[in-house]
Amino acid sequence: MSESQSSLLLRKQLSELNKNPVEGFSAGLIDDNEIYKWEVLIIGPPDTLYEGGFFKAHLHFPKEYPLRPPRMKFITEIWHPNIDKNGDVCISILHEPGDDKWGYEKASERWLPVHTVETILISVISMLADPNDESPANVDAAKEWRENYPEFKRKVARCVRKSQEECV
Amino acid sequence: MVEPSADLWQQLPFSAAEEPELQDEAKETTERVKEEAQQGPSSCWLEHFTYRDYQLLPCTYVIRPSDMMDDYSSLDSHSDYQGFLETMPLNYPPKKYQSPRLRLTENPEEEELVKMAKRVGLIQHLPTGSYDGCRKNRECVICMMEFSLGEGVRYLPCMHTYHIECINSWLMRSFVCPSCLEPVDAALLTSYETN
Repeated sequence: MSESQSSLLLRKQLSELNKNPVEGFSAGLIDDNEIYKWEVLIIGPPDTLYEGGFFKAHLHFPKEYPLRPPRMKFITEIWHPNIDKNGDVCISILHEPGDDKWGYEKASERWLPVHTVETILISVISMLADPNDESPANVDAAKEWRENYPEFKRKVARCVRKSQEECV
Repeated sequence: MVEPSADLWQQLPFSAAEEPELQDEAKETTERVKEEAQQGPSSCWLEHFTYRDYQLLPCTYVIRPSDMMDDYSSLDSHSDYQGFLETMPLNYPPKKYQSPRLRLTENPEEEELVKMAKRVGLIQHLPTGSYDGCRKNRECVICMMEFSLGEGVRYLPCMHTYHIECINSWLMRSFVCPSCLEPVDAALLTSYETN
């Protein structure tokens, strides 16, 4: 995929999202001249521990998009089993395509060129509601989620409060 | 990798009468390999490996279009593949080759090259055509562009349709249909067997 094709595709998605916003998040560019770097604001999904929070995250697209996935990183502090302590999101749909080296993911669970900003964010929002503790990126959070849920809840609530203060 | 010898070319499943041009080129390639091999192990014929050379590889390594599924081979012009190889995302062929005489299993890079060549071979058996305005498939979901009339498209066995360049680049990375996740090779192999 040439650079012009990937930027064309991302521009198309950006204008589409501006025209028809999707519930649960808003999306834009970090810098208007740089189509490969997006900033999104995720609204903590209702009926989850993250409800009421506003979580900022960055998406970095490779020039080979959509053949290769973007990287996603939360800028707002967030406590979640599948988001590491630096904010990097670890979900299978953002893993490079190809033969599975470790044999625990089906090709269908990994990156596909039909994914868009919208489908990625829908997956991330569903991950917030429903953590996958089989492959945790934040081992401490995963352990707490399983073994000490009250403490897990407390830490998430602190992140939600902090995100609200940052957003004002 | 077995060094191609003049004898080996004779065993190829086509006669000189059918494809005289190919036969001549096969000899040429063999001569070149021999010549360069005599110059010592540092000479590297794979560095100058072209699409034509790839086509001339013995069919034990690569499935050649003329070997099977004759119905499809006519759909793909040579220039189409030349263009495809130029835009291939993978380093093809790798520049680091030092010795062409290493065994496949001892040289992961060469194994990778053979794997890619096989993949290219499989991809080129997938039928292509030009968009006829069919309303069922209006856009290529990889680049999200609407097909325009007469544009080159490729059909996967599941009948999902994409731009040739879009789907070729994807299939070099993952051999599943991006829309329905149907593994492409499974279906291909079945059709080979029935042929």
